[in-house]
Amino acid sequence: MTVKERIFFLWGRAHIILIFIVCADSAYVKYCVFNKIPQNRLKSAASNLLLYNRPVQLYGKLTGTAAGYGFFAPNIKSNGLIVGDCDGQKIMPQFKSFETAMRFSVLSSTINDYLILHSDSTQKTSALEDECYDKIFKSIAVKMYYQNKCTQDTFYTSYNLVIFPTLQDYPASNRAYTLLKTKEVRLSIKK
Amino acid sequence: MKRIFNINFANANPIWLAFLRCGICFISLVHFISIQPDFDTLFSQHAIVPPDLLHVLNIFRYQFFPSVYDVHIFLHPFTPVSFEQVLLTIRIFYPLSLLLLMTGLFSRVSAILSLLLQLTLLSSIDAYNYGVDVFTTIALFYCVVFPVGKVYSLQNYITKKRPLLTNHVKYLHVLQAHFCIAYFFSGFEKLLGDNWRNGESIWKMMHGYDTTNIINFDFLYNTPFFLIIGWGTIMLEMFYPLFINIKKTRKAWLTATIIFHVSIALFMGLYFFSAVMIILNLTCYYAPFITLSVSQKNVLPQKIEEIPAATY
Repeated sequence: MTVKERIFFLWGRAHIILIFIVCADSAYVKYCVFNKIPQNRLKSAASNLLLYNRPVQLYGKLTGTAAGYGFFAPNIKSNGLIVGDCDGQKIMPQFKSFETAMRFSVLSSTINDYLILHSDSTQKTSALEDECYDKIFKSIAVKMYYQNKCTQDTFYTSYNLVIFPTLQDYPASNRAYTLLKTKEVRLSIKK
Repeated sequence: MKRIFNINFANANPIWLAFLRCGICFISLVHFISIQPDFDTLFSQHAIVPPDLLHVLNIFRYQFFPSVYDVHIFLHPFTPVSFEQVLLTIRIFYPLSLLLLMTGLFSRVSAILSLLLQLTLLSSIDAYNYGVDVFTTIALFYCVVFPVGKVYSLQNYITKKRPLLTNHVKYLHVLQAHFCIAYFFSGFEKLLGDNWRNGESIWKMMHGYDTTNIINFDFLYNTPFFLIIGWGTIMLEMFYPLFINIKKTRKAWLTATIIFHVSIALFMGLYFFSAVMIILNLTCYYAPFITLSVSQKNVLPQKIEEIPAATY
């Protein structure tokens, strides 16, 4: 075995072990969050030491192994939707491509996740993070206002979860989409 | 045991390296082209969420990889380059590096460049990213590590060389192991919740806001259809490492996995995610088993055992 082959042999094994550990850690964390049970302290300390440090996170980013692959798990979440009120009409950000609209719905869901976390009094978010999100809300509102050529002085944007009746509720003739508002942003525009 | 997992990797076709290289570059290029009409809305200073705000958000999301904004801040003291100029440079060089990699010119360098530029672009819009981006990163990273330029590359054609390819199966095994772990945990995490087990997830997925329901299955609400699809998804993913590696079930499991990804594309609108996953599945478990004619074999790299002893 040449030196190059030996290095590949060692790296290959370490790489696969890391992927396994990251995925196992992700599954455990998701299980605890989903069932609202505290994480084992020893395990948390070990994963903080092993996984959540800058070199490992950077390696994970470069190799696509920074997080687990449990997409849409344990449960599928409701989509986030940003809706504006322009001269009495409901509007949404406009995109030319389907892919960008898809990406924007990911951002909407990220923001809604943050808002839901924020509404939970047991979870702490920093004041700086709140300020950052506040600026993001305003930025999206301003863009929507100008994109849709709105004329009113006060513009409202709401962050919502799209709710469709569950499989159990569906037979009871409740068959319409509803929006569950998580936040409303008021924007005053001085002309 | 050996009889069950009797997949003969000794004669695995190295064409999978070209399949990985060309497949991932082609999909990434089409993906990049697809966001061009809204490129400024996502990345520029006039974006719906400006880059400086996304930069701050990255800090809270423990996102360390440099974004276009970081590159601009880094370069600014040395050269009076604007943010838009940095963005334009990356916008030009990323598809160029993908094209070079796809054709197999300077494969290693173009793979490194493609990976770094892809990550820089992704870090700039981290809050907008989803599964396709992670799997594209994985594939591009393996294009850096594996000798993907040694098979069906323009460079070999121009230099008229048949480069020496040492045991390529070891690279294939790393890729396969990665995907087996990814699929297993993807299924396992679904098992932890309750709504994949009672069919609610499939129902919810088909009624999401951005889904592209081509067929309406609502009339099946009082049948076990959604329950079966939910459990089927869990089983397909969790048992992927087992059945994809058994010779007798490999083709069936691969076909089922491809159907699963085609369904994700059709019902959830995740076209690029599905395309990347199908390419990677075919790279791992279809391309290595393609049998070639003698003339096709002559353009492939030489294996160590093919070289006459006198030339050692």
